[in-house]
Amino acid sequence: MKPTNFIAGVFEDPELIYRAAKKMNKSGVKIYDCYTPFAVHGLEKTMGIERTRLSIAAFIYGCTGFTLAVILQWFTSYMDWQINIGGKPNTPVLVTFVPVCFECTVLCTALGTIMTFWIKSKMFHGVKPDLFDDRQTSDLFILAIDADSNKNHDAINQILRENGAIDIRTKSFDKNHSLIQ
Amino acid sequence: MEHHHIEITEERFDFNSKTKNFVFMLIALGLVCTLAGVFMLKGEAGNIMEKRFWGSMLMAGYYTTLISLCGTVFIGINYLSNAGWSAAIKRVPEAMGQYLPIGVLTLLTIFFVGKEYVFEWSIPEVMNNDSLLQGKSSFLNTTFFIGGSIVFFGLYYFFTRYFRRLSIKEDKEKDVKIYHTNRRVAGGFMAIFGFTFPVISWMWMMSIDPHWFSTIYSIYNFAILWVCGITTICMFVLFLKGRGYLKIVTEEHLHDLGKMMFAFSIFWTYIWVSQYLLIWYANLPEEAIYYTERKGIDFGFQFWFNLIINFLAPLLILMTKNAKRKRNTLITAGIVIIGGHWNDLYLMVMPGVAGEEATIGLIEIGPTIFFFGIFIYVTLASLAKQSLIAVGHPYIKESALHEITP
Repeated sequence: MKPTNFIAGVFEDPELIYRAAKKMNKSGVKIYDCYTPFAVHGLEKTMGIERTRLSIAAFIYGCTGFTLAVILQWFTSYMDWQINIGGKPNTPVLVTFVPVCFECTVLCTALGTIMTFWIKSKMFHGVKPDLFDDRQTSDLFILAIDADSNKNHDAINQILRENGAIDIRTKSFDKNHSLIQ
Repeated sequence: MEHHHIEITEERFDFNSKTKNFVFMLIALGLVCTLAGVFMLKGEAGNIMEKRFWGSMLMAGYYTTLISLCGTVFIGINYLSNAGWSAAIKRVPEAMGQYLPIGVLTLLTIFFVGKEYVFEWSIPEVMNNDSLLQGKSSFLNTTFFIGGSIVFFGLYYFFTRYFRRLSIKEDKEKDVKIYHTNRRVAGGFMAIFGFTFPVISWMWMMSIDPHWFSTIYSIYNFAILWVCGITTICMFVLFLKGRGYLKIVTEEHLHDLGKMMFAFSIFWTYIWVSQYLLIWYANLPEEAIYYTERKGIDFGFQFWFNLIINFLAPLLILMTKNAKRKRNTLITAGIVIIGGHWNDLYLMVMPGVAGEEATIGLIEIGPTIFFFGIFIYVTLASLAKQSLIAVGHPYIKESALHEITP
């Protein structure tokens, strides 16, 4: 469940948000998320985000695709109706299955992984963007902290200010993730 | 982000007498194995000793030359694609290319002395009584063979020297113009390599079975060159890191090399299946004979073992992210890949040369150890001549800060 009240530190420099995130993590405040217009290397480590499990999901999709391809070819060209192609043996040999297995594995892995990524990061068609600031997709860097679970607001504000935040805002979202103030 | 104030300093590899002695022992071991194998088989009927000896010499010589050539190709591709990450390790492939003249000399020596045992088309009586081979005689003749090899390998060596000379000049002058010159020259090199390497693979490998042909064969050879070359680069980098050199090379660079080893093992399998599948389906007698020989009783085990060791083993060893970043798994995968492609080359050479008499004994293993010993010696000696870090490379800082997310 997404929290509704945030403290948002606004930065103009990737270096500054990196340092602020590091300080914040050190002082024991849990960062909700950082919003940056481009990938800031090493930021996800300093924020204390765990490694993604997307690769495990991709592996499972790949295995599924491979199995489906084997079952499909085994059923259609061996089990259900044996097709005579150039007098080739009709045993379920894997040699003839290889190209289709390869393609199905790649297809299932690619589609499954990208769909999982979309679902996990809530990127559907028609979703309202819950932006803290319109410029976070262009030239602003935003460090968002859950205001309800972290009570020591003064300390958070001070860390943000000391590390070069140009602005500190309190933001609230309603149930539909649209910005109230 | 964190290591912005990184120091990039010159490093000198100390090729000390301990390492030298180890490499000399490797060369001596190879020599002893080869000689022992020769004496054990001497005087057997049907020229078995000669066939196995020259076959395994050609195999080992070709293998090391391919790996050495991959050094220059790696440099060329990285210049051409404007790659930054590889700047920290670029001295290793540069040094590997220095073995090329020795490689081509050994290949030509093998051709001069042992050609009648390896290349049946080089025997005039065989050529004169075979109209199929006469059709290919404009290509399969000694002049073209020697001339082609000297010209092509000469060109490769010229580019190897050129890239290295300019790279060393760059270290002193720190001028970005040199980098751009190298980029332009790399374009020329890649075009020349792309058109001439197929001819080399036809000459030295495909003409062992002169009646047989396969259009994907040169890509197959390139796949071997590339995956074994990348693996060897990775092994040299790990060796240097183990000695405390290459301080700016981190897990991130190893991760990239590991990914390439993983990916191009799969690429090799793709090419292998492409060649096998089409020949299996079309079932033309003159093509299918190649696989009939190799799937038979003499080579059947090795034929299927080839797929396990070159495809399944790297796939499973290097699949996870952690495996590509750890020294031990990379070394395991490296040994598997280099050993596996030795088996691959064995299957390309030996069935055509020795036929059903071929087995793996001292005489097959000896030359490989011998040539690898010389290759390692030349590479390490040329690494010791220059700084291990290309300090003047425009992307050296980018390479030092290289990071893969997530």
